[in-house]
Amino acid sequence: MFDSIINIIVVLLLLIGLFFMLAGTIGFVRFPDFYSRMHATGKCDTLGEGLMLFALIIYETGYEGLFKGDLQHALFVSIKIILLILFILLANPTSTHAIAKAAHDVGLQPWKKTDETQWIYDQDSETDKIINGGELK
Amino acid sequence: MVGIIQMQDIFLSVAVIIVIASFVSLYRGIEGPGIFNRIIAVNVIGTKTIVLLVLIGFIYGRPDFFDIALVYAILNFIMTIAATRY
Amino acid sequence: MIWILDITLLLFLVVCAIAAISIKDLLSAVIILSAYSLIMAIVWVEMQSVDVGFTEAAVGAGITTVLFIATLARTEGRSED
Repeated sequence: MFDSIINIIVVLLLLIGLFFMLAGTIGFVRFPDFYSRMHATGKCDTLGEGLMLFALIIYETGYEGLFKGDLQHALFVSIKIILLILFILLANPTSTHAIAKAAHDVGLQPWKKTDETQWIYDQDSETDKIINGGELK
Repeated sequence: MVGIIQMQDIFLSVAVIIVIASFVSLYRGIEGPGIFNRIIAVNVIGTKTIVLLVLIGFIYGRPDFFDIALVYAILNFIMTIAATRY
Repeated sequence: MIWILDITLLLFLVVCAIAAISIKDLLSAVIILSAYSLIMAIVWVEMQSVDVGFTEAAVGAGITTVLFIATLARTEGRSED
């Protein structure tokens, strides 16, 4: 009886984390411009990741620790996962910021609502020119 | 104990879904107009592989996979900084 | 049961390899290669060989990519072919 509760909690958290990750990926693919794409991935991936790893911690402590009794072993594992979550929460935003700054320095214009119609043509060619052809050495 | 067996299948299905999600982000990585979209694509795939690693660690029930996940978290960060520095 | 994950990962590798070849811009190709070695390490880990996965992760994403980027910094960023 006891492990079914934990399993339900874990599965629920896993699904929520998975949902956020998928939302981030879909956002990453569908958004028109570089900055909005980065917007999606930076947030959703970090959150989705955090939730899923948190669910795994609960599963670990519940299954290993309370259920099988060797709480000490489970403690080691969950400490590692907590470290992982903390590091990702630290590293992901900073790397997203670094990319945004680098892109901004190169002169990548954010996509404006005005050029709605022909954004596909001039957007790609323009950014292509800037990033591939132009002054990006 | 019956619940535990299903748990492994759940982990497996979640892992497969994550791989499919990284397939989608790879598509954007290849298509991406400029270099920067590709950098984000690798960043996204890196984050997904970290979760994948931990999940595989749980599927096989061997907890010593998490060190690799930790290494990956650091490497992903270094990769992004190296790419943006250039 | 586990082979489903295997096949999807290996398919991912094939797509990554083809993409790395067909991309004109060298820096992007290097980045795709680092994604390739990322997934390669997962495949090693999935086959329960932890140490190989470890070295692949450390070498593939860590050293090779940084060396490639360093050489790219010196040479021309785009391939003319």
